[in-house]
Amino acid sequence: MYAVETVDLSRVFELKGKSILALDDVNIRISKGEILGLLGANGAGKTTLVKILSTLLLPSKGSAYIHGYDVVKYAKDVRRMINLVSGGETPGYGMLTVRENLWFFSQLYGLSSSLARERIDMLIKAMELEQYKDVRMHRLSTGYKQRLNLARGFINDPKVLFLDEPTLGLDVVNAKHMRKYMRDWVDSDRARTILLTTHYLAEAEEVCDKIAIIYKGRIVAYETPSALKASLNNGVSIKVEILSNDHTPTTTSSSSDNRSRMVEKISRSSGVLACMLEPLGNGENGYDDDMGKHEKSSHSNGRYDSNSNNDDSSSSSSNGLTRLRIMLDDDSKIPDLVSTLVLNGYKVLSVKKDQPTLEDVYMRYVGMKDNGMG
Amino acid sequence: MAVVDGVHKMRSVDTYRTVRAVMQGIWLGWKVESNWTNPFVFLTYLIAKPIASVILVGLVFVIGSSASGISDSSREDLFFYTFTGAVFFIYPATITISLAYLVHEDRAKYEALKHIYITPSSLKPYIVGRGIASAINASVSVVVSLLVGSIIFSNYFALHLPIHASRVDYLALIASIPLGVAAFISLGMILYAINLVTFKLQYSLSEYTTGILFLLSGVVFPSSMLPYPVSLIGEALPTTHFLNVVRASLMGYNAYGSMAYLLLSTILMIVIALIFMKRVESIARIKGTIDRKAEY
Repeated sequence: MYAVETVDLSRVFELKGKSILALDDVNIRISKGEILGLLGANGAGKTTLVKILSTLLLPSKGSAYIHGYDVVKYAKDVRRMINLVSGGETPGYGMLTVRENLWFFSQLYGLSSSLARERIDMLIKAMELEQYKDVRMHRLSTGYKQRLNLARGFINDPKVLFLDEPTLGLDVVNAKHMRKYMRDWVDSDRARTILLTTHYLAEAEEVCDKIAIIYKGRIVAYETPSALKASLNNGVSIKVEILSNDHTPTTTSSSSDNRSRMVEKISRSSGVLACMLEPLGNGENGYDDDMGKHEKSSHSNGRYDSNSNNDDSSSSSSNGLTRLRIMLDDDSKIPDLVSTLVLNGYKVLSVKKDQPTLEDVYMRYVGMKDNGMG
Repeated sequence: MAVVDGVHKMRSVDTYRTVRAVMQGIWLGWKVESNWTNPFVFLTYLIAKPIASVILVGLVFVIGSSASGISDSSREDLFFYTFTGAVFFIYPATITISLAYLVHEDRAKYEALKHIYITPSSLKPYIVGRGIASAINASVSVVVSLLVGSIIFSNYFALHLPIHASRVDYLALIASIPLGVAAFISLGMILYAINLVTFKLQYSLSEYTTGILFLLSGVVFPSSMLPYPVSLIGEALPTTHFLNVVRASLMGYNAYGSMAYLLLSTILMIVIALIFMKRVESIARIKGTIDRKAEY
């Protein structure tokens, strides 16, 4: 029996007379003791899936099970086994203290007084909230409210925990602490399971046993991180730095439009699987490439978003300098690509082959779809 | 046998969890409604508004009765009817308003609704707990309004309530309170359910409902005075029977006939509320409104 299983799960929303397919025949199976990372852009269907599994929403078609219990027919049984943390939210009552808020939720789960006290103490310590345990919630900073939110998620020691972008809004240190906590939590009892939705590829790579990429409501890839990267064996990932020959001053929006057109044009070139703008590194825009992919949540490049191809103007171009990350089906296509860039008025400063990353995997599966190739 | 034991154990765990959830609803309701300010301001808020409402109704009666020239004995009986109606109407008004507004508070302000919903005890025990917390607050308002109002009208308008401590049927009076509260919480649950799947009635729904109840339930005049068939609706409402029991027990009359109607209408209201809530929860899961923020 799987901890979480969905069978042809679909969900349609009716909005102003229009039908929007949020989930389309989703099939996932998460074993006990596993952390599954669900990657996808905004609106891909991640939260919809979590809502169905956590009994907040009914599916339009298909079925979903938590430890064998149907989330529609046996919602009450499912609720005994689950909890949910949504990042960016701070649920709780401002006039209650940290301890009182946790107490309130512990009682809704029917914990005995002694067990509730013990678990609250443990979570307050784990989330480093000791100093604030008797402080009213409305006096806490956003970061501490987030920690309280996370503590609430663990209060009933759920068998299946849904973490919907849990590190959203957390600083680097807190996010790292949180990731370690969730990994340790699962590893300490292999009956526990986490479904983690995230925009942060590095976060998924760091803590997840398996990764599912969801795109427009469909699961387009579902494997272990290493297997996903290995699936790119036939592909080549390159970083290209180019300089626009036309240095006439342009407005931010027209410059962004030009780059979008360029990305679109490259994406349509022969042998190109995907193309996206890369953030510029230190000394150019003030933050580091690798860090920017996961920890710098406040920066647009810290979040993986399919739209980032088009509107990441501030982070990917400076004084005409643009960095691209391109997936090719074969490295023999590199000279053709360089020719295309030169013919389109760009000066190619460097071309560098790179090791495949999870980002490339994402690009390949989602980028291909965006290019109409999937 | 083992299966039967398992089922019994599961049920007792469910009951235990439900009771704890109700208790938490009461505790949270008290904390939320009393902790927003210092105790003095809270107490003032708790009693000032109901006293003002009761005195307003009393003053309207004083002016109306002076103009119509009714006899003193009838005047006191009518005053008793109007005054006790206005005072004890605090129960349905407070409970239904607080429960109807609770959805908005928990969903938008505290972002806690979905997290309460996905607990095994879910919403109903919590709503009941919050309703009981409101009933406790309402009880304070009722007692204070009764005392302050009777002193004011007795001293300044020579209107004495014909209540004699020795004649009051305390058993009927005390029994009517939990019965009435159960009915009003059920009504509040219906309003809660409506607000769970709608967004534009958060403030107005309870106002409309209490307004209609005030008109139909024999608060300041008997519901039999209403035109037929509206009077029938009034006669079916638990608020009407609750006020009838309260009045009869305060006067020392036989209140048990009205009590039977109160009991029946309360049971009916509970059944309707539970069915309605179950159906609406399902609609809310279809529409995805449990955690959706306001649409305006």
